[in-house]
Amino acid sequence: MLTIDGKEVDFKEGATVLEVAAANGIYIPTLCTYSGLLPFGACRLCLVKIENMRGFPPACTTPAAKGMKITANDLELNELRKNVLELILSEHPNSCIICDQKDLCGHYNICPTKSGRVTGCAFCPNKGGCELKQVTEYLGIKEIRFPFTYKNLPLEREDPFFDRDYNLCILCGRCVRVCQEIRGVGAISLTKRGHDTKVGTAFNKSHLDGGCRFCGACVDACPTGALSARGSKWHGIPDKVTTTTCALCSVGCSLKLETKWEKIVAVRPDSEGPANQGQACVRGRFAIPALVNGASRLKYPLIRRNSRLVPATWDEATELAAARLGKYLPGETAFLASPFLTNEAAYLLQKFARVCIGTNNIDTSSFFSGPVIQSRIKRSNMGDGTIEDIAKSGWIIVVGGDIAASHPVLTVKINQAKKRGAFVSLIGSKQNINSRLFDSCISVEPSGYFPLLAGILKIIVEKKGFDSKFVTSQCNDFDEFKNSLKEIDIKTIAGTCGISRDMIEKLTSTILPSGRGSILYGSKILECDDPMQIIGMLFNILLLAGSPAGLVPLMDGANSQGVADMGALPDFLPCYQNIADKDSLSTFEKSWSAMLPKKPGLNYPAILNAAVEGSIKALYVTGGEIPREISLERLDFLVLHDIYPSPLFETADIVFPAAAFTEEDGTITSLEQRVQRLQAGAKPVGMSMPDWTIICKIAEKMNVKGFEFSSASEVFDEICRVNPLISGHGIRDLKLKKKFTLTPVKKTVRSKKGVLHKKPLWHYRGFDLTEMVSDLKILHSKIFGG
Amino acid sequence: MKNTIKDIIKPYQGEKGSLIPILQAVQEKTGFISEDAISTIAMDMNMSEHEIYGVATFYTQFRYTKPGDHMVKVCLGTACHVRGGEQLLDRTENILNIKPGQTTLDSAFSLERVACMGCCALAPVIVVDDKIYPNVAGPKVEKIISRYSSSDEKE
Repeated sequence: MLTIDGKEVDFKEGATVLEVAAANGIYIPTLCTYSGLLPFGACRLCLVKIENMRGFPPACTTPAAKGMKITANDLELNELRKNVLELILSEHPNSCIICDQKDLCGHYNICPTKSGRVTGCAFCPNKGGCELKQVTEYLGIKEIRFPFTYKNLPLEREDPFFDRDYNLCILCGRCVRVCQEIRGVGAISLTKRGHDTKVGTAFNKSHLDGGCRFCGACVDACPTGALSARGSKWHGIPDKVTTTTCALCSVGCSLKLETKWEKIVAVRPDSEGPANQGQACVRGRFAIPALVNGASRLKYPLIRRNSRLVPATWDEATELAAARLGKYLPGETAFLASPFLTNEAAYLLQKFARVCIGTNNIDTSSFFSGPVIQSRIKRSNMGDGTIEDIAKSGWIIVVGGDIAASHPVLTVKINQAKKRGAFVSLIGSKQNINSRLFDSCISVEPSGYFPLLAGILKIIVEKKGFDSKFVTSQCNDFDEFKNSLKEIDIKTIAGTCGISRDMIEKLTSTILPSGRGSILYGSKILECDDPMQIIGMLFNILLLAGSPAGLVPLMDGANSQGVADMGALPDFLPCYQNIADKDSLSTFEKSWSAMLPKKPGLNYPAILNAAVEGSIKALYVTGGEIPREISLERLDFLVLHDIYPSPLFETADIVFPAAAFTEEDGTITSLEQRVQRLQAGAKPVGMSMPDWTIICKIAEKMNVKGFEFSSASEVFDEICRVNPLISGHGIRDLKLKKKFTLTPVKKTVRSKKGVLHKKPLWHYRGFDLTEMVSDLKILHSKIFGG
Repeated sequence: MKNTIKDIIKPYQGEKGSLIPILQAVQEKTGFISEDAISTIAMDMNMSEHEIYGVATFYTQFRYTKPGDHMVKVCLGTACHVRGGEQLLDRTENILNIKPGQTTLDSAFSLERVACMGCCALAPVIVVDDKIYPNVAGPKVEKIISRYSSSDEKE
């Protein structure tokens, strides 16, 4: 208990005076405090009076203590704060802040010239969101009694994505701290001292050279207009802000789309997002407007007439699609579901394939659909960790993935765990970004994963370092697993992958005493002979450490998970109901009131092979998921959903213009199996439509019942009815109460290598984002060369 | 270069809190803090190079360019200031054609301004390398500097 302004309030141990005040609805002005950052005490605006304490301690750095008597607001404090703020304003262009005409001006003069520099009123890119202005208004400053000293620093715009005008900087240090404390990067710091202090880099390097990865966290943290996203700085206050989920990778960040003039003009991370909590990455923060507003977006359906693609109406195109698709035998038709489809679209696509065409030839091109899903089914869906689990881990291993490039927001969680003392190791090739993330790195090719992991397991068992209580009470088949390790010889491991016993022991010693851990595995494991086996071994490590919830697949597509959940798989119906199982088949036949094909269909590589050989005659592709080297000459009929012209246009017979993810409602499922909503921030470009609508329209033309939906949420309702895995939005219960099984370690040799569709690192629906967003290309070539 | 810096920072073993002693040791052994030095220290201490640069630039004692053969320090402490230290600095800047903190193109001289050398009775003073020149008023400074540049030529 303590008192603030005469009000008695409770507080939590460890909270600061500022936090206690805020929690009890008492406002204390501050500029340098920022959610998630440690107290800094830079702006001196939160000065308060505390009985029996000398002077005016800052509320943000003073820990609350029992019995404190605090004065948070009175005349004397207000005068003091006014003085402090006037000093701050004497170095910040302030006509826009103290002018008595500012409201009128802000209302009418909303689109000033695109002068790159702030020179006076209405030229600041931070209109509407200026914290400095809010505090000035609160304190009621009408004039500034100090002479104005303009720093006249050059505008910094050499780097991609955002501009920096340090004439507007008030040195609150939020950008520096967010980069260091939350992102763990430290690409900027406060340099020099006194009047010369400036946020900068070592030896004035460019941000690009200095290791900045343009996540935009600093821009979001800036309380003034000093840092501003170049693409959107002059748009002013958006007309509409929509919360949606990012569909550019599988982390599932919640984003706020800012719409102006019916276009997405800017994107900011949502501080309430369960996966990202106010963080984003370069793609989510900066690439989306350029991606969805490109001039060459497809705006109307195209059909092939006299060997040329010509515009057509929706009626013409869907009728043609219905007529042509009906002509082929079910076995001659195949469907490819892009891992960027919404759950609704994926569900309807597989329903369409099975009900309208009568084929199970449907698969997704996601790297992960095969091994990850299979291993999960084998584990009865147990053992997967959530993103929050990563932050709470005592140890973390990243296997075969360039996580800081492919899933940057997860590094925020790794950084949180590191702060709590977690040891972070990397198995795989050296990372291109943020090498400070890892405490140790074992550099090994995918072919070496098996021997290395076998060695780790062997040493853990040999040293009896595992959590025996957990293993005996919760795991099956320990003896079989132990026996299978007999054949593993650590010495030969050193021979095959060049890893010494010492290195393996060092790694295991970081795992064993630390209890709960996480293992994040990326697409490189798919280059191993038997990815299933590798995943099994990774899970074994977690089980031996007594930490069953900790496997995190770094999936490539934004909705790889959801597309598989929805049954866009050749051998599974929605919710992983096996086609071969008569009961589940008849359940679906009943709920869809149709006869369903019983024979499992072709998987992704088999569909591609059959299309090349000619046994598949009609192919339905949603989003350019075909490797360029595949020749589709022998294909008779190709239907395409796309958002931009793609190389497949040469062969496509019908092209449907699809809406981008910012233009549609629906749901996607992230790598932690969290079902989250997409909400349209703008109307689909031109005549384009969401994927699920296109499928419904074709089904309607084929006179098939069961596709009469008027909104994505109606589709979602049907999904919830037939798919018990999905029962609404949010995270699925991943920790079912059942015994775990240790997988025996067995070396298998893959007889036939499947097609590994090499996709660009940053892609959306088969399009390389670096080709669409020029600044992204600059960043990409900086990181990866070329 | 890298190796010697590694050798210099070795005794500190990446200890937290030893950044300033490390920077001082590097400056003492190599004369200045180079980009290379900062990135080596960053690697060793698992810090970002920018963070280290931020710490180093807070203190005026560190330099980031290779110092010249001779270090010229002009005192601007209170006594020297009162007795014409500013004019002395101006004059020196003009002769060497550099600002404080810089080094001449031929790397013969570096110029620095200091605050009090502890010999206020001799103000204004200029210090070249370790030699203190007292009462440097008027054109005296030209002679002093030329003494160093000509001796270089002779060698």
